[in-house]
Amino acid sequence: MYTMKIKELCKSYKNSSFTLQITDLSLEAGSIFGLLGPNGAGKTSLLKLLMDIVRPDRGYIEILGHRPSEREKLQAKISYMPENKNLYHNMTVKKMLDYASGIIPGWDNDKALELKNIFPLEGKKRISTLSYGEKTQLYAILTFARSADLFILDEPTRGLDPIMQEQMLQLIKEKSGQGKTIIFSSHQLGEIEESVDSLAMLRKGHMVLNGNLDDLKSELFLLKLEKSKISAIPPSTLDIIATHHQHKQSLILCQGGMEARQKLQADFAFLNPENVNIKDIFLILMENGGEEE
Amino acid sequence: MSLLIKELWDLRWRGTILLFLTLLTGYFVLSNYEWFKTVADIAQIEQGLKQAPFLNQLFDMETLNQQLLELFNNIDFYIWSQWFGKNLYQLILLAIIILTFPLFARETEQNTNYFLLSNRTRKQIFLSKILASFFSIFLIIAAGSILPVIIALFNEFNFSLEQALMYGLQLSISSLFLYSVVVFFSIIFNDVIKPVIASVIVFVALGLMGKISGMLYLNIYRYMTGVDIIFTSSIQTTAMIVIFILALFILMGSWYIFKNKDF
Repeated sequence: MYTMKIKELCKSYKNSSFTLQITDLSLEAGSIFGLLGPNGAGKTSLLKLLMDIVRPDRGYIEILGHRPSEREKLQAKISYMPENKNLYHNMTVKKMLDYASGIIPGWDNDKALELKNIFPLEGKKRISTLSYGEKTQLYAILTFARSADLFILDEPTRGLDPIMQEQMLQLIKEKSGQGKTIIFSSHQLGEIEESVDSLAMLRKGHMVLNGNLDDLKSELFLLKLEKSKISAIPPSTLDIIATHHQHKQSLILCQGGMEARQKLQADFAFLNPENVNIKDIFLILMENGGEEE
Repeated sequence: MSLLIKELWDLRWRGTILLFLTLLTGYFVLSNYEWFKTVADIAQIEQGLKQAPFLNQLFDMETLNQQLLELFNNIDFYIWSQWFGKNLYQLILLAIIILTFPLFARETEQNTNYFLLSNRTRKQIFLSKILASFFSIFLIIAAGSILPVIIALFNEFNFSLEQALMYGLQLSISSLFLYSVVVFFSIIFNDVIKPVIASVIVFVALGLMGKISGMLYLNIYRYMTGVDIIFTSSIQTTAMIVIFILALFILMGSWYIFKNKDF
């Protein structure tokens, strides 16, 4: 069963050359989905499209069996933490939580109390005096103290100290353990690698990689080559995803399972296919644009 | 706290201060009629009229003076000219701008709209904001319109409740039109300064249009002062219907923009 389906999605903005284009993306229920990309890649735009905060120019989005514009049917099922975690600065933390309890569908007071122990914020403190990290903690309470089937989190750990980051990741895993679907964007490659089941990488509004994390790791490998040796390999030998040229070395991200790697090593003894991690993939695809083949 | 209560909570200080200011100004103006008569120098006004050649050509000065004195001693005229026709409608203009300009624009400027948009439908957000803010304005209009009747109970004069209600209705409809203009600006702009500037420009332009011969009907302030009610003892039904429809049209346009806006 799919939680989200996107087909031929396109979104552009006035006075901006940026266009988000996603041809095909789907997400299975109950999984943790990571959205990666450099600043301005379109992660926040995509999440806003899912929340109907911005509207697509064209394309199809289905979320929990509904179109995003069917907010009445979706508002009790989706919990959203935006990138910008501003709340009403003239309210105190306590007032904001009181207000949220009346606004947020499916608010759970017991869960809110539990979360207040994890994120210990002073109730009397005005929101205007909170640091960015504290605002994120307050938003975490608002986001998780409710029943929802889907949690959309835009950079949920930004501004948090390592202890709070860990708490946040635990919450995400806890929700996933309860069968909830999580979509979250992050710049923290480590936390994505640690938490997600599947991921997508965006660059300049285009999805450059998408898939199950374990599958990606087994299907992709990395070659580190001196630039002078590249010409020794016939192009048809490799299924190259992207290359990234460093000072004297080229990093080549290739597609192929264990068999392909063994064959490659047998044919070219000087090649040493290496396993990849998200950091490698991200750097090759994103750094300096990453030359797609 | 529901969405509507939160909107009223947001308006609590501005609304209370404006209501208090209206009541205080009204009390000062309406309770001091006798004092006002003592400070106004009638003899000097008469002298000034006699020396105006233009008026001398048009009117019989003796009759004019007589009528002026009658008006001057008429509490109804005083209430219509000094309270409804001057102070109250100006306070309402102020209230419309102050209570409405940040309605949507502040949420956009401070990015708090994400919290609302992710938890409530756009229709719920729009309606709660509109209801809360216009209710606050209407409360001030109602208090200001009925104030002469209440103050009359404690003083030695009478004021028609019927006329007060007619004025209140006409002022409410006229205010709804100006309110809809400010709502429109609050939605289309993403900061709180531009709606204020744009509203002030439109408010001034509407007043200026009324100065042009043949376009007096466009002067919304004519209806807000209630000048027609004094002379005809009825509200301007046709104008009110047109203004009401225009206000609804602008509000529906604002809703359409809000419904489809990217945040």
